[in-house]
Amino acid sequence: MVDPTLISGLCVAIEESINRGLRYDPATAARLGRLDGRSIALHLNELNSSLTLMMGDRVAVYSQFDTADLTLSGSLPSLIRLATSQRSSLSDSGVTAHGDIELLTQLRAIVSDLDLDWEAALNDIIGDLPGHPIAAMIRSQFQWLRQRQHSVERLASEFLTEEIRAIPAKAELDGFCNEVDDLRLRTDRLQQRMEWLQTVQQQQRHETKN
Amino acid sequence: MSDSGQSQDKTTHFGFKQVPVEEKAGRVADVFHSVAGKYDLMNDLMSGGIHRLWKRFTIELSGVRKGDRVLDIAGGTGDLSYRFSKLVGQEGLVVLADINESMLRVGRDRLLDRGVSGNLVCSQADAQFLPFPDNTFDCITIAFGLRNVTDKDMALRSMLRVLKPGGRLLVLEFSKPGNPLLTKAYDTYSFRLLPLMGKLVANDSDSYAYLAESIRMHPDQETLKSMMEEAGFSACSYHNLTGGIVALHKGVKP
Repeated sequence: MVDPTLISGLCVAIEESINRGLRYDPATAARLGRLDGRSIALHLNELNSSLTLMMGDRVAVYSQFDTADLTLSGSLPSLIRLATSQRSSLSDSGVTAHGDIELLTQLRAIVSDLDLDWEAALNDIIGDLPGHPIAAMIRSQFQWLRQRQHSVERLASEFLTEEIRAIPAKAELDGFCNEVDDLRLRTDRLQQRMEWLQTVQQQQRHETKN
Repeated sequence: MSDSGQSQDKTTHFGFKQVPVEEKAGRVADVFHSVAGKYDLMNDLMSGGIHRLWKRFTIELSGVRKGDRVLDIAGGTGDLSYRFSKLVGQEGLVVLADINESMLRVGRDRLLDRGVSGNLVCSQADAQFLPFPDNTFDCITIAFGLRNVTDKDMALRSMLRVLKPGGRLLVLEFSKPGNPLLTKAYDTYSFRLLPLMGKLVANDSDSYAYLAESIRMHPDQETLKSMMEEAGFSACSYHNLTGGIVALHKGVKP
């Protein structure tokens, strides 16, 4: 069994990291502060242990906390995927939730608006004078990378759909899906009509016998 | 029932010395009057800051929630009380109790400086004769204080009395390391380095020598657990922290 002193040390490290990060996003810190006293437990299936985050002016992290408002259970990768994805449902995520789901919705809204002022964090470490040009350089590099990412995505898509025609184009696929939907609706209508005609036919036979 | 550290002729241990029972409280008081001003600094130096992790684990295990009433016995400089005051909120209550006036004054001033008010009161109280009605508190903690109490059995019974049924007692105290190598290193540290640090930082080697000696005279994990059971606590258990240098005992009032 791991010494509780080490686990407490880990909790302190996580707690300090979260609160240090929140110093660079006061709006998120204030929104979390409004959830004062609410707690969310993250249960890691691999380790069969939990970490509980208690909201407030400072976020507190505990390893022994038996009554959290909401418990999310899953493997570490699935919990990380959930935290970083934009999905609004837990289905097929590998994560199960017990407790106050409304709290999860509130936290997702807060986390999705997270906007750390990383330039201020950088300036705190190396000072304003070198910090600003370095931040400007990093920002322009990110912008360049984002543009390259978009163009790579566009080129790859064009190559697969137009050049080698390995997969259909989006418009083609959308059209096909619409036609399938249309066919399904028409089939449903035809089935309804067949059933109605069968019912009418049976009624007529019944009346003829009488 | 007599204190497990008391002998037939009404003496008890004060570190490695035997003193008359009625003298122990006064002698312990002198030690803490002497160290009060630099108690936190010395704790950080002596434990390398680990005492904060031990106290943090105590708070986690306490299960204290909003609205609870908490008694922090031997609360000294108010580390636990500060955290508890945040957990219980304005509708709860934390009582910071210490037998030593100097320690209590340092703790009260520190908590006021940190903005704690409204849900915290200070009480100069002896753990053996707690001045509170029966069934008052949801949780009682005593961190690094039980070994200085003259009659530990009486103190445990007194704590049981003021706890509500279902209330928890948490005793955080130095104990016996399980590993012989760790025991040897720990002995060398406590009896050689600790008094030296006390002399250099607080100019008081005797008080810190007493602290080391009193740790050795304190009951080990199993003995303290059985003392809690004899006092009337149920579901008694303990966690060894940092290899058993410190143990956190927990008991519930039935």
